[in-house]
Amino acid sequence: MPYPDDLLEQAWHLARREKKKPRQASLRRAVSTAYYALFHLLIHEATLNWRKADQRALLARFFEHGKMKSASKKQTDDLNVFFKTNPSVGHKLDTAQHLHRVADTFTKTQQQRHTADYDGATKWARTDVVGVIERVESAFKSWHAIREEPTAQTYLISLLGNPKG
Amino acid sequence: MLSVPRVWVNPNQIAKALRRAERALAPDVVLIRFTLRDDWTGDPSIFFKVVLSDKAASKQSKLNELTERIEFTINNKVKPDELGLNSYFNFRSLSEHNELNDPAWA
Repeated sequence: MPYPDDLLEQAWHLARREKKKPRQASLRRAVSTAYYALFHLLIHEATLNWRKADQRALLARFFEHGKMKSASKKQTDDLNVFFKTNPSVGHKLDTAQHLHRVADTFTKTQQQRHTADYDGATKWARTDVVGVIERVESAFKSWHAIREEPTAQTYLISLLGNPKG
Repeated sequence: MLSVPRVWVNPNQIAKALRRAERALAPDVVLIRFTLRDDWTGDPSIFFKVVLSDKAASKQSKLNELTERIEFTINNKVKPDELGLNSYFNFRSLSEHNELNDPAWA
């Protein structure tokens, strides 16, 4: 099983680890792991385009959380503008909706991960954590539906950062 | 670079919009709270805290569908985009809310 899928499975395991009263540690790690599942899925997909397979792990280290968030936010903003044009039903709209789900989930889950990892005052409930993991799972499905689309591939490139920056 | 909301944010207007959202989303949603602050990258943001009825939260196979519908409704009422705010959501059931007794959600 690929690493991102393993992480997603691990997030579920942590979220359900204690049957009755979940430990905050389990819930926090579940949120963080769900985010990293999507983080690594996108980086894995981006680096697959690099022809030299033995350099992909090195290339993966050039991706940064903040730049990936900015790119994902811009992607969702651009798609929201597109949706407001009332596009006709069809392949282009389907692709846009899937891509929106991926980019939006990335942005939102990254903030959740930051809270889970660094804000000790925040208490987590299992309902919240299950919602985060379900959303990441849904983003995985959306990604697999559009991974070969040009707009999806362009999104992957944008995750490296602003070319003018 | 300092990032600021595009327009002045009026918390009272947001609270009023949220009351409308609560009514529209009842009985699945019991209450909604919000906090205005920057997210971890320094972007102005609004953090919604949504308490679900136990019945709604217990439908865990459909939880994602429910939370997406709730987010859509709240975003439509409050319009964080037009206020220059990123929006983030957290959810808990009424039982969890009572058990955690969390001042941040009071």
